[in-house]
Amino acid sequence: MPELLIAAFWLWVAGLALALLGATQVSRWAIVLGAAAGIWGALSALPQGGGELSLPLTLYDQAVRLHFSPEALWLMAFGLIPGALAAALCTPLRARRRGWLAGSALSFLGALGVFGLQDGYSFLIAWELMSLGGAVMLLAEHTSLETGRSTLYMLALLEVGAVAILLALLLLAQGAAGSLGFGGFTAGGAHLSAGMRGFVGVLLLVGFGAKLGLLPFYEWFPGAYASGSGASGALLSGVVLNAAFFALSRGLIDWLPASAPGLLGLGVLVTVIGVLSSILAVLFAFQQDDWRRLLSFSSAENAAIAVTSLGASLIFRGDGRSDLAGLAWTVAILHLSGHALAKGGLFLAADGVFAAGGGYRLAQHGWLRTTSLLFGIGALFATMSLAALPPQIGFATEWFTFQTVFQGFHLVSLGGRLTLALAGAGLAITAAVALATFVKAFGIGLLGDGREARSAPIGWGYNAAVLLLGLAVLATAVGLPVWLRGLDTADVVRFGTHAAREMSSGWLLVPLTDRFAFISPSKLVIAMPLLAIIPLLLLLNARRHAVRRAPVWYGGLREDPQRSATTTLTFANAMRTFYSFIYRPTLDTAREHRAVSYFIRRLQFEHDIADVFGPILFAPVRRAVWRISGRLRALQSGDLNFYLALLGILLIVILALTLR
Amino acid sequence: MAFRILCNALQAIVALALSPLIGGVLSRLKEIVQSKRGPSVLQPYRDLWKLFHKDEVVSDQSSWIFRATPYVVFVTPLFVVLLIPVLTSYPLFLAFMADMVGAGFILALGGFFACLGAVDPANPYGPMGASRTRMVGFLAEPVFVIVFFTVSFVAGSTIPYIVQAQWTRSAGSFLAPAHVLLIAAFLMLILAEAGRIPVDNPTGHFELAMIDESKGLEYSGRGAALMKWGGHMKLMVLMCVFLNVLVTPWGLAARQQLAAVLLAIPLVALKILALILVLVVIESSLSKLRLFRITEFLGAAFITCVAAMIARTFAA
Amino acid sequence: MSHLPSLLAALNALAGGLFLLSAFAMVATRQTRGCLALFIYQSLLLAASAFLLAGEYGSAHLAGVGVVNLISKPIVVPLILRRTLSSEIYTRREIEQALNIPTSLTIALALAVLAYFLAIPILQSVAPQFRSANVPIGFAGLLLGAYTLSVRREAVPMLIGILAMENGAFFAGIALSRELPLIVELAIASDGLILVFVAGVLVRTIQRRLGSTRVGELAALREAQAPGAGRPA
Repeated sequence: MPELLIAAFWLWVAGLALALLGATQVSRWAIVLGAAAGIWGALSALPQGGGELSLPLTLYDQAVRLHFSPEALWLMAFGLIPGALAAALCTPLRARRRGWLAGSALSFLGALGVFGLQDGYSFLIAWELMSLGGAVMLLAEHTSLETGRSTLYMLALLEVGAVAILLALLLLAQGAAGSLGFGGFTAGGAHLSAGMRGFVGVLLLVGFGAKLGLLPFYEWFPGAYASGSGASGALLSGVVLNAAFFALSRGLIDWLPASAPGLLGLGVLVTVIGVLSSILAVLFAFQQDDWRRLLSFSSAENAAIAVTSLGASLIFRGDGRSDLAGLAWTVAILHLSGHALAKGGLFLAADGVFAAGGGYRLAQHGWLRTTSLLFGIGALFATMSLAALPPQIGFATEWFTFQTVFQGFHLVSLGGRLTLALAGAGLAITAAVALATFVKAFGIGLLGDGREARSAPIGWGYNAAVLLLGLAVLATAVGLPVWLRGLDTADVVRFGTHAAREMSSGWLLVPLTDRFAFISPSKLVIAMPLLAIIPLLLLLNARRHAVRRAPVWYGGLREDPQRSATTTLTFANAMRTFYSFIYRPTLDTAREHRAVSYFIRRLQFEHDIADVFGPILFAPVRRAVWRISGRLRALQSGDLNFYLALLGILLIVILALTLR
Repeated sequence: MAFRILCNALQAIVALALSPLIGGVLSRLKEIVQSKRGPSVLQPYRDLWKLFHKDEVVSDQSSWIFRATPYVVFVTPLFVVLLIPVLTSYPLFLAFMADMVGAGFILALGGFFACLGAVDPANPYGPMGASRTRMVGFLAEPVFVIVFFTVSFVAGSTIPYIVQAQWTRSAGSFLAPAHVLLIAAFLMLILAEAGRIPVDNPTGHFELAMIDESKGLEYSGRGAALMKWGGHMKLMVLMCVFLNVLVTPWGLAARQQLAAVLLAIPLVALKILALILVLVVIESSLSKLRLFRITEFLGAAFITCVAAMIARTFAA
Repeated sequence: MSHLPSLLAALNALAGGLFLLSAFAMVATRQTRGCLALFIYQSLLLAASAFLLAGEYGSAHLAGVGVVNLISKPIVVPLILRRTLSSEIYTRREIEQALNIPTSLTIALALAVLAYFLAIPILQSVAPQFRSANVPIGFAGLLLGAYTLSVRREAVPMLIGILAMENGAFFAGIALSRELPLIVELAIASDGLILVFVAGVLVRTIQRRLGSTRVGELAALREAQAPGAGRPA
């Protein structure tokens, strides 16, 4: 029932209005209902894709039409699941719910538009609405002192992207006889010259990459995410990230022609950017000491992995292998959908810890030991998925990504082969660092000694939400051979091959052929617990030996466990030292003491790592803006004659333009 | 069908029973090379027996992750044994669950839990070991993936049985430059993953110098036994992959007869013994590297296998 | 590859793989003695490849090249070095480098890729069964040798870098021309030996003057002799 999507639209509009009016409880449930309607509507329409829907709105005397392709529905459903739960739990900052709800409703509305709208004007409005919604959420929550600055940073970079998108849309419309309807863009792309086509591709990459956190744009992620709660994070890296990826994939795959010279080069560029972004993002994720910052970098990493697959798809397509192109494209979609679930789970887990009084800093307080088993299982499953461990969905999609780039040896072009081979190496590094990152997130954030710094247990709402998302991660993996059929139509329309159907063979997941490789999360789930019977049998005779619980042995010393607890820095310092040429770490120790230096009164230790692009790319731009504004200050000198002269010049300009 | 299930069981039993022996033989031979007598080759079995009959002491600050970890660490290598050719050159009943890349991820699952188990009980040495293991692992795990990436270029598959069949069929690609580099990289990977010299000293007793061992310091009794046994099996799995898939793909049972499968056991044992001798030479002639030199060692392994991949890319 | 390669070609490919491995190891190793050992292995592999190619092509010249190589590099070069240099140089464990090892290895990898690219146009003149081995790997050896030469700050490893470059050039060359006149190879081999001898004497002088062979520290030219710096050798 695709009409439910229209219902979702109205529910979100209502939610927005109610939030602005101050009826937070009603607004919250309206938004949640809207998200639920969205999920149900998207899933029910899935195999075929949604029909034509229209909103009773007009824009430039045209009815606003919505049309959802299968992959849009798929990505939206997976993005809305954590979104709905995040909206249901709402931001943990009670006093700031009103603004947050308004922002989230805006984000949902914008995402719906990005997924469904079919012409350039309304698309850009929806895109801006989505960015604005994110900014409103973060500004409303205002969890850090730097919220304003980092939100502005985010908006500035997103605007750079929006300008690029606008330019790309105009160029494509030029080819399509001036119409901004997306229906004509495929023809428009075909009309462009080869150089122009490449330029449009780069513009799209920059525009949507700003939201996806590609190189160099991922640097707005940590600051912005850390200004809000985990609920905002779940929205931003769920439905919003998915929408941005959908838009990028539509631009690169649908609008640019399937086989044209130069597209191979664009594919190589997209792949290289994807791989480099994923490596850098994950390296920085590993160094974070805040739940939200760590998870945000990881979102950028996962988006970059999906973009790498997208680039592989372009390369395969440029080489005339549409079956493999279909595989790569499907893998990219799958990767982001699994990521949305798992990431949402961890963001909500972080919110649970925060709401229970733990704060967002990663520190060992033994949360897992003292909360419900359900929370632990959900968080563990989500973590495993993000660390690409079997049998979770993250494992299946990461494996598929590897298998996709492995297929590079089918390529005729040496450049494409080499690119994919090196991309495989880069992705392997990314996967290994991601594993380390999530060992750190789970180990430091949820385990360890928990004798102090505890106020309340984690609430049941968070327990249930985290468990639900964890189980969803597992269920997506186990049933993947079945779910995959939902993407088959999309592949047929786009690539003319049944890639999604050929990605499973029975209960095996295969990269189009089971002679090359296979895995089966479904069978793993059954076989692994069965094997665990062996160690359990071995222990049967040892039943009579008791288990004694005792404090940890510190080599005979009486240590305070909290003082000797592992911090994020101790865990990450080995890598920080080794990779100092990327991190460029700074250490600063200030000692304050009385007359004799032995008696230290205060010891202040600061450590940080430097951004890669901030100082090189963005700081000069900022300085240039300052300099220009310094020059422009002369304009407001207060001198009346100067103003009058300006008016005179303006008059001349106007006359010259109109009388020409 | 029944025969294949029997073979599967046999494979698992061989891994369970023989894997502690590898450690025993290795340390005995090393001691002999160093003009010492050393413990009996059966010492690992005695250790396991002893540990299974001890009480268990668990940190009062640990959660269920700590208790579950030994089972995962024990089961994951055993599971991989079912997927790879240990005795037979044809796939067995349970082999259709994952290919080599999948098997790499399954081994990583064991490593993930071992790290969590080390961080859990609030012992300061465990997290240090976990952090160091990750530092070693972030270059070692890619090596595993890239080796099979390159193999897939040659054999057109990442399924171990197909790869093994491909090597036995054509000596030409077996001796290709890429293959030599692959073998070198994988040998370095084994040294790193199994915590052998020059990456780690398995016989060291100083917590601050430990990498792999310190993760298991908090385990006692049955938990420690399962962890140790899992470690033995992991080494055996890596050796089997190295020998039966990459270096010497011969000597496996090709026919579906029990006699052939049983005959394969001593042959495989012989191959493993040869590899142990190589390890003894390496361990006795090199010294342990400083911590930050380890990443150089693994960086060399990584670059070697990427070079293999590139050589292969151009040759294809 | 259209036809099945012969055993000789397969073995030659194996030698090629080991040759490339030794070139990489030479970039990674930190010890003078290790460098020298690797150079000897590499020269042995070069000789082996020459013999194998001689067998495949039936060319006596290539066999001669192999013999000259077998005598000059693995035996005579170390002998000369040992005669001219003091043992202190050999026992030094750590060689100073301008770049650290991981960076070096990454650059080495990029150079290897470059070598493979450079080799593509020449490959047409090589018999198909040797295409995967000699020419690209020889080029890689050449480039890696040049790289070692440029980043090392010690005289002896730099010298070995020059010799490794020569090895790489020969490794590629023996596959390109079957009828390499023996006299050329003899001339080059003797040239190499003279080079080693001269460089050895030079290094000894540097060591006597400076107390070390860290030529990376030789950064400034000096007109006048500093007092008490000793007599020139």
